Amino acid sequence: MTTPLLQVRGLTARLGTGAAQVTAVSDLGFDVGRGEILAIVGESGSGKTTAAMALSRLNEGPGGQLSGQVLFDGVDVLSLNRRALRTLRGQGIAMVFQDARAALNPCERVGDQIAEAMVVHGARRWTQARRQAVALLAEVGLPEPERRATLFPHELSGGQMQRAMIALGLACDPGLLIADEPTTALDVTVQAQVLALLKSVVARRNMALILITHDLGVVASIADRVLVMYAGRIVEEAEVGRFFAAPRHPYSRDMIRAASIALDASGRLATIPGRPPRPQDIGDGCAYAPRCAQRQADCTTLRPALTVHPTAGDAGLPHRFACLHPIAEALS
Amino acid sequence: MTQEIVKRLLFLPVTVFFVATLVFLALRALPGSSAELLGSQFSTAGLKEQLIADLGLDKSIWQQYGIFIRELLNFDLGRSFMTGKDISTMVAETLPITIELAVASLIVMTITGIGMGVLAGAFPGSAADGLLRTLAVLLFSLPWFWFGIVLIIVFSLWLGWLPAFGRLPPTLEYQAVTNFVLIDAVILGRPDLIGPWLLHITLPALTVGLTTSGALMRLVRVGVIETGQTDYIRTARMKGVPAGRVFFRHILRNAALGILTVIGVQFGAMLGGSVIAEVVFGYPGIGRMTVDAVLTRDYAAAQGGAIVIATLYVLINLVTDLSYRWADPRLRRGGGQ
Repeated sequence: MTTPLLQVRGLTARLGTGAAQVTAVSDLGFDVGRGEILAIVGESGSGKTTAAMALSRLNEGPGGQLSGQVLFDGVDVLSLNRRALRTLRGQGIAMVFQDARAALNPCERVGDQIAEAMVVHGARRWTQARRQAVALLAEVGLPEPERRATLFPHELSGGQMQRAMIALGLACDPGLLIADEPTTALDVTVQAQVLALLKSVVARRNMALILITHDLGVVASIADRVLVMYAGRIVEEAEVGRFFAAPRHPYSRDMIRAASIALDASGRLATIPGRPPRPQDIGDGCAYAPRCAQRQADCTTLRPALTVHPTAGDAGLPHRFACLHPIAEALS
Repeated sequence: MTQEIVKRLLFLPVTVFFVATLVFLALRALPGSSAELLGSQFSTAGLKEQLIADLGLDKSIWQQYGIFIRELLNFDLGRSFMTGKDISTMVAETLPITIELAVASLIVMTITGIGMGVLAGAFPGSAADGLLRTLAVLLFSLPWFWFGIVLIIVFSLWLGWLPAFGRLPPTLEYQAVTNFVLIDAVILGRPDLIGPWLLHITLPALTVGLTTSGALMRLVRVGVIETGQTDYIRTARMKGVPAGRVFFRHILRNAALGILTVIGVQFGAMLGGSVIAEVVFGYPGIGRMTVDAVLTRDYAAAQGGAIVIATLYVLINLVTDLSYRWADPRLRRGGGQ
């Protein structure tokens, strides 16, 4: 078996300084291979965006400390010098940000912003890069790419901007694309188009995609594998079909129930009571325990480890979860 | 955009009308008149009455106002009560001097303000940042006249490097054409004018430019820091753009939009507000002309000076707004979807 493109081991991110420092992501470990779509799901504040940014050290600095190991194509990302890191960004790992309207420079033409990514890596000269930018805009399905390349971001619609953002991510043909809530700001029909685009691009270019989302509908429609984060830690990881059919962690199940339109026994939409804990409020036990219907006495004192559980019939794909009292039965 | 320009230009006469009315009334509310001041210098009893009649001050205030507005509509600013010169001539003589000083001050303000702001904003929280911020507070807390006098004491009295008074040496032979020294130096073929002129303009320009640069520095610093925290700057970093290019091409370019407006507004303020520098340095600009006119109750000259300054102020703000629209693509093409 070949080594996966991205291997993350024990990745921990501490944000803030001094007394205000919190551990936003703890001991994260997972792999992503080429051609694979991994969805990282979780509520707001679960650490999924922090984790995604940490993969290319985008949140490192005076207010952000990273530790652990990120191996990209065999290279230890956390120990790269600035120049090598700059080469990695855009060429190795690219990122598509949540709000394309804010993430594109308002004073630069769309085509130039895409072309700049190629020029700064020395891949192409400006004239060539601009032509390539038009080709990329065509690839992401923007009609009239020549004209659109000369427009400013505010002259595009929300969906067009997100497509342009994806084209920007693809500019240097990265091995891994990280898409952080790429469809959140879009309306439903456009969401579906953008997801289909991401899926086809990954297949065509044989790249890896990490999709950060809180929308289980998005997960179900394109992901191969799901990784659930809660309070900065992984609580469950499974192949997508198994995840929806037989989640083992109570949080996963509650989330799936809350996302479905199905009503609960009392005829109301299912919700998860309470809210996720703030990083500084997490005690020794399971972070989900205060909200968990399955809670037992040891849940508040013992933190469950993330362990691999053998599953039948899934061709070697591991099913991992961190729960002392996992759910045994499949979802009806 | 053309529509906007036309609209703003149509509003100009309205603004000027209000300024004219305000100045007219304010001057009349001041005690004393130029007739008294002039008349007191002569002992003849009938002279004062004669003067009052000549200046039209014997008419009711509403009649005077009517005459003033009618003349204004004919672009006639009248004659000075004191010197008998046409106000338009006086403006033509003094306005270029003020514009020269305002431009020189603006250059000083822009270079020091942007320089300090960019440096501080590039390294927020550093020792240099703290030092520059302290300096900025100091600069904009200093009163102009006090700072001007300190500069005179240091550079004129102690060091003897720069002249403290006037615009050109009184001994210099100079028949003005446009009264802009740089333009006249070319027209008249008199490069010898430039040196003394530069020496004279340095201290007043430093006074106005440095005291205003403090506020600009703070704005530039905040603009640079805030732009650096935007999502699109994060995108630029994620693309692998080198840090220097991120700073100069992405952060500075976007922060410049806000700075442009401030500089424009400051330029307008300098035209009207360099009065103090003109008085401290004996600089014969339109600000000093207007102040002198108020002091001697030279109604026509004071009204003329105020109207010209107000008109310029409005025009400069218009140009600032237009340049902002031109520089920001979101406004250039109508904005939005």
